Amino acid sequence: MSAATEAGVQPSLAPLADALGAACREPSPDELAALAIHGIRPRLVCVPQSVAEVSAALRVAGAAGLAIIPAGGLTQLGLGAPPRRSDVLLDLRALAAVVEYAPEDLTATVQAGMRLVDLRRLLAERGQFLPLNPPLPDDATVGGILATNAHGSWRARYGALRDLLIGSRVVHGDGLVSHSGGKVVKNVAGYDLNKAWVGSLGTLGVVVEATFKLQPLPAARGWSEAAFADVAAAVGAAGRLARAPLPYLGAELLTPRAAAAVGLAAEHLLVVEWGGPAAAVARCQREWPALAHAAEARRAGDRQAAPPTATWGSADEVVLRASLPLGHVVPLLAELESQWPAAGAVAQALTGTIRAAGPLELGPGAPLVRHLRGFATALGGWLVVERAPLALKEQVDVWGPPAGPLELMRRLKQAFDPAGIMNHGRFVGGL
Amino acid sequence: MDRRELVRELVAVVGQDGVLASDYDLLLYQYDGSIDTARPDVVVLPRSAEQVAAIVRLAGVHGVPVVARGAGTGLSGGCIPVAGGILLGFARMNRIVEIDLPDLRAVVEPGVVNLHLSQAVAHERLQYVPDPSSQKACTIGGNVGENAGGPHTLAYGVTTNHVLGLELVTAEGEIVQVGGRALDGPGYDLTGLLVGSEGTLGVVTKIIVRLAPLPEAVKTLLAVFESVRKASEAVSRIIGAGVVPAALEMMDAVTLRAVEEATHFGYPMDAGAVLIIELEGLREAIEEQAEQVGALCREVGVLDLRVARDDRERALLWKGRKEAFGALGRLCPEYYVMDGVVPRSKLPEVLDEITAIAERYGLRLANVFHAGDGNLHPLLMFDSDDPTAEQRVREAGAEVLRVCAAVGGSPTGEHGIGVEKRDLMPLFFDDADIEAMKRLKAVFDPDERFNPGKIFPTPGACGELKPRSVSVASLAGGGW
Ligand SMILES: Cc1cc2nc3c(=O)[nH]c(=O)nc-3n(C[C@H](O)[C@H](O)[C@H](O)COP(=O)(O)OP(=O)(O)OC[C@H]3O[C@@H](n4cnc5c(N)ncnc54)[C@H](O)[C@@H]3O)c2cc1C
Repeated sequence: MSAATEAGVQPSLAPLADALGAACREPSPDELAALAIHGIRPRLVCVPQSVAEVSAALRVAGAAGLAIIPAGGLTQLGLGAPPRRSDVLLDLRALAAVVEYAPEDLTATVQAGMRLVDLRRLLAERGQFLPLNPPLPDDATVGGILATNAHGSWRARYGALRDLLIGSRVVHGDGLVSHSGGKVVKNVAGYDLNKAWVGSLGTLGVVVEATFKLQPLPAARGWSEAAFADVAAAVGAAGRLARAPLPYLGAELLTPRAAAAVGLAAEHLLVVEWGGPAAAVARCQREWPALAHAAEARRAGDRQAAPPTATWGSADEVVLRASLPLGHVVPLLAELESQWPAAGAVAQALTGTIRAAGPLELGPGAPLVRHLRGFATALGGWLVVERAPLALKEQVDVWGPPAGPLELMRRLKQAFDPAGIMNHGRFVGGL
Repeated sequence: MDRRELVRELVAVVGQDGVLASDYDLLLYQYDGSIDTARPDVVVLPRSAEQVAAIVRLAGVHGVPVVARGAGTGLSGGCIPVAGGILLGFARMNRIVEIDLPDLRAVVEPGVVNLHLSQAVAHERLQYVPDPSSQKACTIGGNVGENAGGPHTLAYGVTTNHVLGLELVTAEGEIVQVGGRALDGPGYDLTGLLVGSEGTLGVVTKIIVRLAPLPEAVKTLLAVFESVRKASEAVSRIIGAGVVPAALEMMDAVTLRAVEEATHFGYPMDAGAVLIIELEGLREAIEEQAEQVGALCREVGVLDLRVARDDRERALLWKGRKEAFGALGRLCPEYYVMDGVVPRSKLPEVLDEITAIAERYGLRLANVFHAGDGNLHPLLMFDSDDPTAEQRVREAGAEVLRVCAAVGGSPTGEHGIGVEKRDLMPLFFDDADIEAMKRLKAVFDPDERFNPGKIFPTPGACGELKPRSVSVASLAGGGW
């Protein structure tokens, strides 16, 4: 971005409005609340109707130095560092078509503005699904999920988006439209650029089309649960599960506060979801108590449904997300419980992802986040601030140290988004 | 380049016994498992990442390419130094650095042979899942280079799904870490970008992989069909019905005969094709799956459905499959293996077309492949004493890939583009797609130091294969 725009001189929106015509409008006062990020409001909202319009928008915006915020279902717009500017919110929800669904090949290609809930409905008609259970599927779009690498407990069985995305069509920050991968489930032709886009927070460009590897819906699903005296015992049970060749879809560990927050008894609770033929699920449920008691469960048994953890944490709470190597989950959870007792935590107990949510005051907040991050890093993991008020984000880096040389990431950003217009400054290291 | 000076400096880094520069030695390193060859200027066998970094810096000073080589079992010329330079052999960096049971991870050097890792954790009832048929020989570094697959990657994913972090020597000769033991490290997924990049973005010196539990029960079926067409219809039906076995492999009649001679398993000699169908999971689950699979096979008229009775029989069945290329090597002086992928529902028609192409070019054809993924390995047999054979093979191969392109497939499911298919890239990728890949290349390796001449089409190529002189490494009797 040029020095002039960094210095706060607002570039003209006219070139973009001219190029896209009716697809652009000034946001109404009503919608601004939903579109603003930490108070930074877009000056223009554009709703491209085609891939060509997305490309044109980015080309023109690059030349004019307009800061672009790509958006899907607005469920995770706040993720990341506060934007430096927001000239244009690029609303991708008009690109929501099914490009090709081949149930006989277990693959589907859809446009990125499609909502996950709509994709699920389509696939369920043929007994299939995209095996991903991220938060807020009713609003989240495919593109938004990809940009934020959203996932849930099913990752333990099926992997995450990096494992499920087999092809993509993208518009780079400078308008280049390219595709990589394809619609076959195994493919090593050229670089696997799909990987660049998953979790890149829209900082490289815009994903416009995605092809996924699908799965048949499990014939039966079932849940088991067990309560434990402390984190260590609960994680111990999860560890046994991770070593056992059982047909789990995923497992969640709730600390007492988290359990209470979703209306369950306040205890260390481990909930396992099974999926497969009915006989296999039944056997897992039957054998679960023995496994859990061997790990010193206080009680163990069946459960009727998943705990409602997907959307827990109220809007004014701070949410931290840590990823730990599986064998190092206990110390971090223990540290969380002792250092931030007001927070509850839910851990994907078979993959090592922990989300902690609770009230956090500004004064002690930043040092606490830094302390926990240092703790996670020393254990070989990471800790990011998933949700926090602006004031906290100003005091503590949202992302922490990147998982690789920042210089390589900077060059990647520069190569794909040379004008630096895409969600600029919101990602690791200010990228 | 002053070769003698380069050799002297390399000896200073790795010692006399780590540098090979005689004509004889260089000749041995001009091959991989494919049909292209080229000689390096010098072969270096480093023992540490620090040595690799020093070598890469030296290459920069001398302006010569650096090409990493694992076991050289690649089937697309990935480790062939087409522009000469330094060939980095990883035979001495073959330690399993750590088996981390609590985290279910292992850390290995790139020269570790694939199978050795699974063997090292088997007593814990764990495994490293990707199992290329060459797993007794190929290295995990080479698997990372090609993003290797294998029979069991149908259900559990290929190399990229099991690699979580890398230590890398960059073009600047720095040692850096990407990814890690934990998931979701902040920033771009550099690990994911590096896996499958065919040694063109950096040199991998350490790999963090996922370990997974071995299944409770395994059931291996051998389904016998009168024709390849029937067998591939069965594959389409199995996948279409939403059954995803752990492995689903096909061998045609030509392959069967060769394999039977080598293993004496008792494969049916009058069959047109067989499927090896492996089901894994809880006992209850696989019983149910076996019934489903059996019913689907009967729908297309399976001739016989056998179940491996015990571990010994199962091992023998797999030995036949995994050593099939070697067995076929006995039938002909040379062969050429392709690696196209098609949507699984298109298998029957595509296999018919491939048969027709082979006939048109007067070439003997064998099919042994990962049918459940739609990943074909048509194998064209030839004799390079026949002056027209090689050209016919290359043209037939290009036609096969055109068929794959026409049904929305890929030129390669696991062997990589390498030199072999670089000029066919335009059949599958347009200029913008290639431009995107060039952007990535420039991020990691702006001076094109690493493995030049791979992946990208040569200028002016537009889906045509240029004749090249070939000499062939026959894999016959190669112990695979
Ligand atoms: C009989 C037979 C059966 C096969 N079956 C399969 C199969 O089922 N599935 C499958 O996927 N493949 C298969 N292959 C192909 C081959 O075995 C794989 O591609 C394998 O991954 C290559 O490993 P390698 O150690 O031999 O690597 P090489 O051939 O030596 O190198 C492969 C590529 O990796 C790069 N590379 C190697 N080491 C490094 C490093 N340290 N850093 C960076 N880049 C590096 C090289 O530069 C090259 O581009 C088979 C081959 C044969 C001969």
